Amino acid sequence: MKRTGEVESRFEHVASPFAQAEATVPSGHSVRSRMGWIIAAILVLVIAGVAGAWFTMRYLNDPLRTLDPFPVAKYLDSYKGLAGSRFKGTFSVEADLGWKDGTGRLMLFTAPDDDRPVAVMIPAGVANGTFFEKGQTYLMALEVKEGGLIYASTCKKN
Amino acid sequence: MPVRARKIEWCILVAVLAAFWVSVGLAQDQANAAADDQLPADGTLKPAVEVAQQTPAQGTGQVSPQAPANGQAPTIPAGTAGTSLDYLYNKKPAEGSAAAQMADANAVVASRAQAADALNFGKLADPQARHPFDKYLSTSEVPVTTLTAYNAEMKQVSALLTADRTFAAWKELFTLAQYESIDAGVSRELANRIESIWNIGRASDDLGRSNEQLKEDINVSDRNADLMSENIREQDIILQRQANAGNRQGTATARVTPAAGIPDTSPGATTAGGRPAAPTNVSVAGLEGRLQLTQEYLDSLEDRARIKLNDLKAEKLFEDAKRDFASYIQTLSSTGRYQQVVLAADFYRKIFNEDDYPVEIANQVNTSLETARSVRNAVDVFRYDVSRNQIADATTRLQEAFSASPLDPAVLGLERSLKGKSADFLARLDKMQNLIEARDFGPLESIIQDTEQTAVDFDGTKAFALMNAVKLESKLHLGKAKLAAQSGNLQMAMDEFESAAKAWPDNPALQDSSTAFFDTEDTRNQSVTEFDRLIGEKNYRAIFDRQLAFAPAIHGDSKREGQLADALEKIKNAEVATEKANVMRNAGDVCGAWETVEIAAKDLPDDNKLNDLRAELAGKAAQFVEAVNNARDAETRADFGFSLTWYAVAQHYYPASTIANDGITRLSRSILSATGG
Repeated sequence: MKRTGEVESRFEHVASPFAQAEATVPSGHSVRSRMGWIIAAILVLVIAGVAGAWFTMRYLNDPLRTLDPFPVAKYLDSYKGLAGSRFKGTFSVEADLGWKDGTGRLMLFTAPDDDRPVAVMIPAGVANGTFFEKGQTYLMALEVKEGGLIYASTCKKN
Repeated sequence: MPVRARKIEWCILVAVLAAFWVSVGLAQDQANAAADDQLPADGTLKPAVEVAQQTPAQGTGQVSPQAPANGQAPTIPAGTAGTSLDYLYNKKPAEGSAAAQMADANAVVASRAQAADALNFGKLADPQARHPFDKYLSTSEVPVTTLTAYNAEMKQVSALLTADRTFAAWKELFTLAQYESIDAGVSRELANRIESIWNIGRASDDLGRSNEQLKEDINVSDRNADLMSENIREQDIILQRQANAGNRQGTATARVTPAAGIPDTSPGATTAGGRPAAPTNVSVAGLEGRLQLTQEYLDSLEDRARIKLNDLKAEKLFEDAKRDFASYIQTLSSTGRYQQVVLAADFYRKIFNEDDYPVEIANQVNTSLETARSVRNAVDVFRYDVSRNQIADATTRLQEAFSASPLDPAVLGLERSLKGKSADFLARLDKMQNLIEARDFGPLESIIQDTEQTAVDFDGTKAFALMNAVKLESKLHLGKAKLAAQSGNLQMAMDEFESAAKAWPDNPALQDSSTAFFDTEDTRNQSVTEFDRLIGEKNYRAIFDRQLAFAPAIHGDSKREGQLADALEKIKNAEVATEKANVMRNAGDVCGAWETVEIAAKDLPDDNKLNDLRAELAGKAAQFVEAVNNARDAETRADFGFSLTWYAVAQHYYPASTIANDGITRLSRSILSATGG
């Protein structure tokens, strides 16, 4: 401790050789700098506006924007409270349980906030042409029907 | 009871009897018709079996279920005599039935006869002969003085008869009758018989006197008739003269009757010229005289007829008396009164004044004399045998003498002390017979040996042989019973035990074997009962733990053997599952361990060991177990989509889960097929 105090007191007497010197650059250089700052701000505003407009349009164009997210935990607790209601969910493909013409595809999905899988029936009209692979994420409108089976009325790859 | 009610009862009884006879008649008609149907065309009778074989095929063309096939023995139709015979000869009679009782009675009789034969009972086996002989053996002897006096009296009676002093001999019979212990009053009865014959003689004398009187009456009638005839003749002559004097022109000539006044009323009577006789012209007084004459004539004829009848009556009385007395002698002979037979025969000769007996009486006398001699000889032999301790033969001789003539003085005078030896011997024989009948061979051997010492001529060989044969029979039955029990044939074992016990009830080996058998059977029955109870409770663990006790108990019972094998298989699987679960648990795979136990518990839902392990593992794999249970519950409620999700959740927790994967596969197919429909 004593030794450290001795070093700090020695640097208190050191000073820079340029501490007392004056600048030699002219003042026109600062105007240009100010303009640049203005342009940059404008660009930022434009970009922000475009982005905002894009997000706004996208939000307005989302048909599921009014649906509540699918409550996986609540469903697993008792599906009857959710029967007849429609939800939206962004589910990841977990497994393919089977396909039947005219009926659709039975899949297992997992929600982002709950790792427990849920079985979802994607009717043939909805699943038409879609190739499901594990790990893919889909935005779906979901409805719980009789027997607790979840039906996807829309399914859109996310 | 009112008369009307009685009539009604009689009517009902008659109606019932009539109905019975009508039904019997109908049954016979049907039987006859059936028999006629069975007659072949050529009229020969076929065997019943052949008819039974041919009838179904020939009648309806159908084959009866009872029809014999391939020449096998035909089934005897129910309700025929064949059924009864089949029952009687091929089946054991039920316990308590009449046939069983008859069989038991026959067995008892056979056993008694067998024992009597083994002991050489001979005639003593007959109870009717034995009872009076036993009584005789126990009675005291008649004193010698009494016997001597009686014999002297007998000789005196015979001497009197020889001297033709029949009446004196008859009086001596009453003296003989006073010897009650020997004579038993037979001489008095003989005297009564003789007296009755004499009374018959007196009746015959009365008839003779009556005949004499009748003959005098006949003579009187004849004399009266002669006098009346003379008187009538004189009157007729007087009347004829008067008529000739008063009517000289009279043409009629009084006809002189050939019977001196007795009118001839016969239709064939004619005059001397062959013309029919004219009616006699007689006065009323003359007619009266003729009637009296006729009456005298008829009286004479009647008396002669009475004389003839009396003669016949007397002759019949005499013959009856002879026949009755001969019959009485026969009775004396048949009852063994041989001394009285000889005496009565002598009386017969004297009473009926005959030189010789009839043949029958002569034979009886000879037989009596011979029998008396043989009885005396038998008694002598008895005394000799007793003196040599040959009691068996002595008893036989005495029994022969007694049965031939129980009241012979030689038999009656036999000393009680000598008879007592036979009585003791017979008592031993009786005891041995009872022991053989009861198959109580323990004391029998010693009694036979004792008897052989007291009665040196007693041969116990047959008794020993019978005893040994019965023992061997019992042992053989016992051996068969053991073999049957070992092979599990309980019915046969019981039958053989029963036969062994019947043959020799006190067989010590039987006692031990039966006790062991019944203890074993009791344990076995208890084990079987316990096994059935545990099967009912599905307590296969308890069956597994006691398999060593159950296995021999249910040996041969295919159903229970199958149940035991099934129980052991289930427990074996459970044990394997338990071991597997323990290994998985130790490796940290609690979900897999729980699932292994869970699957194994499906076959053993009440097994405590599995349930304990399952409960323990369920706590450690709670999420997985909850998911599986939720899936099962939802599947039970037919909430297939919900159940599928829970099976997927279970699989999420334990991807290798058989339950979850099977559930997912099963429900996926179900959902797709259902919604597709």
